[in-house]
Amino acid sequence: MSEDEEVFRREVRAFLGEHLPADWRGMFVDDPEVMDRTRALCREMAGRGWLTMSWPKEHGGSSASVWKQTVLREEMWAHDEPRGPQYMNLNYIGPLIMRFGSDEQKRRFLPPMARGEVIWCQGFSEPDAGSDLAALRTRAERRGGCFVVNGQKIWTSYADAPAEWCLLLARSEPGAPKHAGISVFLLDMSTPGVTVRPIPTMAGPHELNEVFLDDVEIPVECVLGEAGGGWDIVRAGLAFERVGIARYARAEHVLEALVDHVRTAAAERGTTVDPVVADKLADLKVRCAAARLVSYQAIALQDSGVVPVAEAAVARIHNTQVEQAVGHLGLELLGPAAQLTHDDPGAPLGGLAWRQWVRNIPTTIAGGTLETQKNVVARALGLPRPS
Amino acid sequence: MDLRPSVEQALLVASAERLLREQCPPAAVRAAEASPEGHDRSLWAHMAALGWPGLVLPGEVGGDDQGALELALVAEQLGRTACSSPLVPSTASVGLPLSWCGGSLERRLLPAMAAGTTIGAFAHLEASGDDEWSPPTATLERRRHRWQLVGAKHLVPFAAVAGVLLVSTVLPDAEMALVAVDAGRSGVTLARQRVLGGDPLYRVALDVAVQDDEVVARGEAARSVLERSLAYATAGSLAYAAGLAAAAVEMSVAHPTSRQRSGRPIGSFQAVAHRCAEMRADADALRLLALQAAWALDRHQGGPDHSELAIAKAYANVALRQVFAHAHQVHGAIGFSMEHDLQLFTRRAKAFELSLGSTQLHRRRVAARMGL
Repeated sequence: MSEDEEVFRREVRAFLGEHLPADWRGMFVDDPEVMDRTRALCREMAGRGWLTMSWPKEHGGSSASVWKQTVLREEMWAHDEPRGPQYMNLNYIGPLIMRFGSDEQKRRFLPPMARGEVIWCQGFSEPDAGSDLAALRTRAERRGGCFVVNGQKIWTSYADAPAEWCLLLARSEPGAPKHAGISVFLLDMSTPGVTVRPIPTMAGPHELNEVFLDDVEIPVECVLGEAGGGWDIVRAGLAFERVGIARYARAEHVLEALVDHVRTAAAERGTTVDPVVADKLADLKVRCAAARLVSYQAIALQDSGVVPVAEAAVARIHNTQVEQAVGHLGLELLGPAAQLTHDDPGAPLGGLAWRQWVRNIPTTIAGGTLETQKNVVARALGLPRPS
Repeated sequence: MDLRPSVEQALLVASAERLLREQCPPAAVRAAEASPEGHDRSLWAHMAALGWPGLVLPGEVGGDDQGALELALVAEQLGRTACSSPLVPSTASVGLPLSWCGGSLERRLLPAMAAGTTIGAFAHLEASGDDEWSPPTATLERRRHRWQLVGAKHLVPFAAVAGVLLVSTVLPDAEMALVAVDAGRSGVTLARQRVLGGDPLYRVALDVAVQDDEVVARGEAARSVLERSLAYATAGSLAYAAGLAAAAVEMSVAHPTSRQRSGRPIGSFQAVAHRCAEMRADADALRLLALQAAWALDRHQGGPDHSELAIAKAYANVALRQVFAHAHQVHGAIGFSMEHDLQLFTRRAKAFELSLGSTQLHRRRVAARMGL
């Protein structure tokens, strides 16, 4: 990171210090105001040109350097993603529309994203198609000027936020090979036949959802790219997504809070920090540094126009596991009181360690399991496919 | 750190890759290990022709004025072929510290070191010490018009081919002193030690007369020169270790791709493939942390206040165990045989782990930087 980027980092931190409520704990808390807060913050960021800084100028962005974008992602993730669900619009749904969308789609969908006014969700996983995404079964049948969609999506984040739009995958050519015949649809979530049912999770009531699609009519103008050519779009989208989240930044942020905590606790007792505790914290600092650099490796490759398939998976292997490790160590260091969850007034560090632990239980599952990431690396290394 | 190499760096790496691919196949590595010198003299001559011995030495003694990063890029290629070479120990632990001392003797020695005609060996570790940061106990005492150096060093790399020994000592007032003596001087006795790694290491018994100008640094200056040279040695070794790990990944992918069981290549089993993927993830991180450490060293000019080296070494020690545990598991019994090349890399990786600071030592340094 150059001096320019560090100056920008200080600007972002000052902005967050001013605009982020002190009790901001991220999405997925049982707080009816949380979505309004993210919308307000996104409008503020849009006003500063930060929301779409990664976008090209022709779409209202500022074509910021990839490292400036990285600083923004780091600060956002370290502060529990104050943009809420809108990071998805900016990181990859918008860019996919820029790359694969029609002029009309670009005119219609990009400006509201740029203004920070719209929530999108992503309808990918199904009960029988998770890591094996291409096994999806939701059907889209062409009838006149529409596709009629039937099926079920699951583990859909933000659908009950409520999301106004959904990037939806469905099978539009029955009988085509597994990876062919998939189309990407831009679905208006208020269309009749769309039903959203929240799935309460260990992290709280508002994290994930099921989305049922019964005779949902989607006009043909809302197919992204070519009908049946959706798999290429998915692959491009997943590559954006894998490096889009600066997990190491939050792991380091939580680690710093833990260091402050153990130092304060030791000072209050008139002792120094237990060397075993210091060793464990240093170990995680080292692992965060590793996760950061392998992320930078993937970002640098992507910036040079190469799709970093293995490198993005390597970055995810490091980042997801270090986020989990920091959560576990946080709870360990806080001791029995760490059982108090963030909505209990006695929770140490406001429940920071609890959140870090519980939110990261699915981190090695969502967006392609850890095992899927290893398969990706193995293929890139040239190992033979399982027969 | 800029993750893209400059044009000059890319050329340096390409020439290192080419030379070592041609001149340092596994058979040459085995031959060097078995030889009395412990390295391949003709390969050293090739390296000298390419200017590597002077790569990081100052221009005024015939060096190239390059930084730790350039040394690391070459060291990484040495590691990829498990090459036993005095290049890193001689330049990082003898040539560079002598150049920082800057006396008349140094100006006499360094042109030959930059040209590769003189190799240096750092006689520093002692059997009674914990590691490279333990204070030396070899004594340096005044005897009328000269000094007398008395002590025993061990694990001294490439001492038998060295023309000059840089020796760490303690003065009667407990201050440290660094002494550069001719390796062939009477009172210097070498004995090759049996070690698990690949570089030739020697026990060096010393009872030698030393002239004034051979005492190259004393007191605070000696401590700071030692500290800086250990940083360069660590950076070079880290990159070498990253090369070892990358080679282990390549070998571990090649083996299960061709090896069959029940009519299918064993690499098609996820239990095997996932080990390879984990190796790659660790090897990538190790490489980037090693290069970052070298880059940071150049930026900070070897000052003590940088945690990148400690982070990289703490990571490397743990990662190498994992990488080589996976490599051996993937190779099965053949990887344990001396006939297979894997052992060349495994032994060097373990020797690296045991040198230049333990995981705990480096984590303590990282913790200190975190305010712990």
